[in-house]
Amino acid sequence: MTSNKLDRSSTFDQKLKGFGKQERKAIFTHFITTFTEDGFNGLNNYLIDGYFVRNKKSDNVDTNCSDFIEQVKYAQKHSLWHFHAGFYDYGYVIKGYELSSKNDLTSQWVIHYQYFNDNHIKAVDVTPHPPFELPSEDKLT
Amino acid sequence: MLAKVKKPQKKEKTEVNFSFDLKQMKKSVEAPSERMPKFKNFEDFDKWIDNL
Repeated sequence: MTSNKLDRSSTFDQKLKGFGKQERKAIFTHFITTFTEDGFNGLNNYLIDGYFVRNKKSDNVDTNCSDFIEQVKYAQKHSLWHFHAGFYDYGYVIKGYELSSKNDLTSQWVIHYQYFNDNHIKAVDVTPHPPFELPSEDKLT
Repeated sequence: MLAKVKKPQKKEKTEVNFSFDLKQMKKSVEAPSERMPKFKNFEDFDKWIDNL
């Protein structure tokens, strides 16, 4: 069995420390446990009540963004992805998530991470959106 | 308790589009990093955070 390696940045640690039990539990249940047990493929196929939780590459930058190209390159350079955390949705429809127009589950807060391979990622930050902001380089360490 | 449903058959494994900066990735992977410990349950995780 392959051991899944979940690294974390100091920013991620600080965010965890600042959260209450509800937020910590959502991150633990949806993100940490899922990756630890099933790796990246688990995150990418994580279902709640029959709906996939959104997990996507972060280079899908808003084309209206003034520095669109730089943002895309930055996300690709650092292999940034984000997973919807499951708290502070707007309708509280499904366990902290809301059902999007694309028929998957989204939430206001997302967990940013770097993808290294299917069994190794690094959690770097947890932020609300919109607006969607990529974690700066100092938050990757 | 939040329900967790395992992977269904309808969605295939997503292939990662490998367009990353390989030098930067190598640097990131090799950089000293803190690994998340294993936890038996949420209560252990919660205590661990408080002691960070």
